[in-house]
Amino acid sequence: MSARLALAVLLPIVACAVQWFLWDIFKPYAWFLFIPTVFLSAWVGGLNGGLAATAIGALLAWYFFISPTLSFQLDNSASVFSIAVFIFTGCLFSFFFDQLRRSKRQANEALAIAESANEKISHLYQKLKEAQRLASVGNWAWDIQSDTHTWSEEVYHILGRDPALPSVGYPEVQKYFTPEGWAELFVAVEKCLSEGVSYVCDAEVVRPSNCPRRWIAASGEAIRDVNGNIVSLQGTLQDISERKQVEQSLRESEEQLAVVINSAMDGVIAVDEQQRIRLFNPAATEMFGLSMAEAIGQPLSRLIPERFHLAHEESIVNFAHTNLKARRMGGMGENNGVRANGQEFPIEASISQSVVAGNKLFIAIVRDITERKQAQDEILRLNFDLERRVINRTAELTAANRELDSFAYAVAHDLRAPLRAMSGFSHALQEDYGHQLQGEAMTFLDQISLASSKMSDLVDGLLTLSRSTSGGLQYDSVDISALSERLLAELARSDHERHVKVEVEAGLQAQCDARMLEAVMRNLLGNAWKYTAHVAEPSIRVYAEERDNARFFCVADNGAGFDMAHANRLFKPFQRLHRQDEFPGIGIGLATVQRIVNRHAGAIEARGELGKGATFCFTLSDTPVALSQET
Amino acid sequence: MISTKNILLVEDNPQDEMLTLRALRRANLANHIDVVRDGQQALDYLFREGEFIEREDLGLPAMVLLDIGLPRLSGLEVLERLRSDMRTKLLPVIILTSSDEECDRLKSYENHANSFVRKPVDFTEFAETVGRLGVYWLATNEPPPGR
Repeated sequence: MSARLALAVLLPIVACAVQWFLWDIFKPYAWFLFIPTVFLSAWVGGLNGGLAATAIGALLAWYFFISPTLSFQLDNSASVFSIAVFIFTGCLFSFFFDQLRRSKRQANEALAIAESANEKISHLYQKLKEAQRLASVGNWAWDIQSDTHTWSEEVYHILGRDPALPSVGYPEVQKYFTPEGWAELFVAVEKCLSEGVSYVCDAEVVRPSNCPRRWIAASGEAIRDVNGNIVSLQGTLQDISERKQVEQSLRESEEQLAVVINSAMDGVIAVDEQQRIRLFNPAATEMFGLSMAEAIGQPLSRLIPERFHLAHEESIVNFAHTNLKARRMGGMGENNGVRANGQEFPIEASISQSVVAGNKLFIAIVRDITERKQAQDEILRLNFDLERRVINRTAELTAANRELDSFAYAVAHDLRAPLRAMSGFSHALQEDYGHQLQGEAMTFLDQISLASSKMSDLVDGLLTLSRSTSGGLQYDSVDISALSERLLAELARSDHERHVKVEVEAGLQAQCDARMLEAVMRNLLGNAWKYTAHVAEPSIRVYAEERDNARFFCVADNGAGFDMAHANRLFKPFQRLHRQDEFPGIGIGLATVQRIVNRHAGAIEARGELGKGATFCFTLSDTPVALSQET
Repeated sequence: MISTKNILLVEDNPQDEMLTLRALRRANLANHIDVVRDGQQALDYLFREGEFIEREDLGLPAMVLLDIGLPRLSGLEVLERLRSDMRTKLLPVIILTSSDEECDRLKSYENHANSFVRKPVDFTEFAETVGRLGVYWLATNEPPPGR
């Protein structure tokens, strides 16, 4: 500003100098350059600049150019007047420009205020839009006279309409609602139109193309003019789908909960901190013979026999002081309940505690275990009974076994003695009276001896058979190869006239009862030895074969063999496939073998062909079968 | 030289008794045999008690041929009593029986029987067996020193 003021003051001085040099041209117009100078100074310097330039210009023109020049003397009144006019004009310029400048400044200020207001408005509008979007609330207005509808952007959103399209009028907007929703809304709007009654109502919105339906809360009110006529309506739409959904699922879960509680087989009882019943389900009603209405509000102690009152109260208080949320079924120990008619019954209960709306609530699940108790007692009784019977049966079985043992023992002793007598006395007869006996008499005596020795063999065989099924098995690792070699060597020694080709596979091992297995091998090898008696080149082979996931031990010979058609008789006691005069025997060996193999949970099979030999193969299991499973 | 001492045969079966005696006779041992017919009699004979209280004290027999299946006291019980008595602890006792039960054999040896012999059914074998036994225990074997 000071630069402008300096320029304003400098201008009349410069004008004075220029006019001085060009005075010959401008003479006699003393104010020629000064008037535009003052104008310029007022424009540049404002009020102060203009006034200063006017004063300086007046003094300079007066001194240098008004006659008498170079003096402040005035020789005529016209000069005085011209000075006055100049000063007045200068002042006028100054005041004018000052005013102009002031107006311009005011205009600028007003403009700036307007601009900032505009900015604020647009900011607020954005915020409103944001708020409407966040709250899912849109607003609308309906000017009835012009029938114009104004929707905020959120209304378009909620209804699923493109915001670029115009709003939809009333009642065309119906297409956005389900028929039920519209029916209710229509009534409300009509009432608002006719009577000016504000409304708030929920309606379901149908949105175009695959969009899920929505629930809205619509509100509206009427606007009246000064005469009280309704001129427009305005209101809001709010998307309340989520709330509706929450309400719906809440209602569903409440219903489910009610169904669960009401249909539970166990009694469900809720008790407050004062031990008053707050909830009593139908199962509890049935259990305690107390209607829900009778039970609610009653002290819990009414359901418990008096003698347990104190203990029960204490246990609940104790439970309340624990941090446990729940104690499981039976965790409260076994208790008794009492029905309305005074009858006691055993119950089992679980309890939990929680805080509902600031109040502690105990929830007990109660089960009437009368039937279970009875069943348990019955089971105990049956078990006891069963045990008693098992003991009895075991004793009977033991007795029977002992009897059988003593029978076999008696057989061993008492059957042999008469045989010995038969043999002995026929022998004595031969020795002492042989010379008196005639003809066949000696043969008859021989037959008696033979028969007694045959009978003795039978007794021995029966005893072996009976022993093969009694007594426990002692499992050991048995070298079947070595056993076979030994037994074959024994056979060869006892019958050294024969030459039998013998082949025993090395390394045959089995887990079994060693003595029982010896009986098996003795029988099988003995048979093989016996039935190869009439063969030119007898051979016996002992080997193992793997098939059907099992290891079979086999004894094969090339002897008399047998007809497979009769194979099923092989293992039956006293059944023989050969005549005595062909191959003597009593028919007890293979029966014994089979029983021993069965006791080892194994299996035995026979293959044979008449005149071509026989093969007996058996398996053994590492674990024996129980004695009772034997046949 | 054959001992002059007796043999005591404990046998309840009369046929077996006859056959045993016949077998012993064939071995020329017949004169030395006393026979009792049940377990109790055997103990009474040996300890000179009961019906044998009047028996002349000839000392213990050279051997006892003891059957197992006996009335009143079984042969094994007799053996047990004999072994638990100082007087008969060392008396040679030969179990001569029809049994081939293992448990009998085991029990006999547990009670320190001197032999366990099964009576063969065939008489020829039987006679040989009994004869050998008599000869062995009366002639071959040296008895325990007398008290």
